[in-house]
Amino acid sequence: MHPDPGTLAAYRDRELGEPEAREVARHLETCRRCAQEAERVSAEWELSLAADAQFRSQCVPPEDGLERVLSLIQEWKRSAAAEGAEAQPSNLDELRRRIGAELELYFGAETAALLEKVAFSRRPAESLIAAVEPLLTAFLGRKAAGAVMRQILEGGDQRLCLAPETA
Amino acid sequence: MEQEVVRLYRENAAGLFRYGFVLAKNREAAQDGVQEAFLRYFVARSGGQPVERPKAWLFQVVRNLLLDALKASSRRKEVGLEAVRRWADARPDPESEYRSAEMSRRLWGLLSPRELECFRLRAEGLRYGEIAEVLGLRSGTVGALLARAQKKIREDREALMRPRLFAERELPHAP
Repeated sequence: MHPDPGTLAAYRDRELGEPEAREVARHLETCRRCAQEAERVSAEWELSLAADAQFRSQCVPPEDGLERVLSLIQEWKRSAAAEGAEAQPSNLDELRRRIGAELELYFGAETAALLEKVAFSRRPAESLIAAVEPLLTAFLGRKAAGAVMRQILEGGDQRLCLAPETA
Repeated sequence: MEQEVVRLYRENAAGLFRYGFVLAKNREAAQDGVQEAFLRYFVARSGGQPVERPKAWLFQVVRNLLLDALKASSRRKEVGLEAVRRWADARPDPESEYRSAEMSRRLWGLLSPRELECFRLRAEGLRYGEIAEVLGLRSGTVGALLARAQKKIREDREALMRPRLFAERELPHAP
């Protein structure tokens, strides 16, 4: 089988797998026409690179490109830090964890899991609170439920700030 | 992490920029794409995401960013991608009024988009596997695309050289 130009290009670029490369090499030793074709494929690539050389030398990125990248990175770090400070306490998962812990305390693990499913199907933090609060009120009374909700939102290591989640 | 970005920028920025220029046909867009790609690299690595082949990763991100931008601008103008390409051809951005644009415009007309990208990526030193990854091809087709591209370029050079050799003989000698 005479190798096609694509295979010869891959052979030239040492991109063929070991058995195939050896096969092509053996073929080129015996087939004069393909050996010439392989030479032409190599010469053609050199010519193409030469034609491209001017483009390569003239199409260059701006000199301050790296500086711009680094300042973009600094900007991103600043905004990520600012966002992180806000986003962490507003974390919906943390809210869920705290609500789950309280529900389990009062209703036991099984009932809590059931109630969580109902309550957690409501995505935004605000409606989650709206779902849990009457639940707790019904079982604990208004005063105790209010205290538990405060515990959920303000207890723990951090106060939960919910504004960004509900937006 | 910044050190890694600096090193990768020094090694790859020029090649990425040329690739971006070929895709977007516009210096500003190419530069924006390259910068954004490095920022994304930094963000991905900071988030603990491993990047096995950073070079291929960067080329792929530049490609995605610029093709998305081209699509978005074609939607805004409510014309097809091809029309945007022609539009870009007809109105090269003023900064690229150097001969590199002339050469690349010639190649744009000569090669199919895939051949053009394949040639550019190989000329920038990517291995076949990396080119296949960037373009979403089987690496077996990379050789065939390159062979077609270089054949077209050679034929074009030959056609270009013939009249020029003739013309040079006609030129008066420089004083």
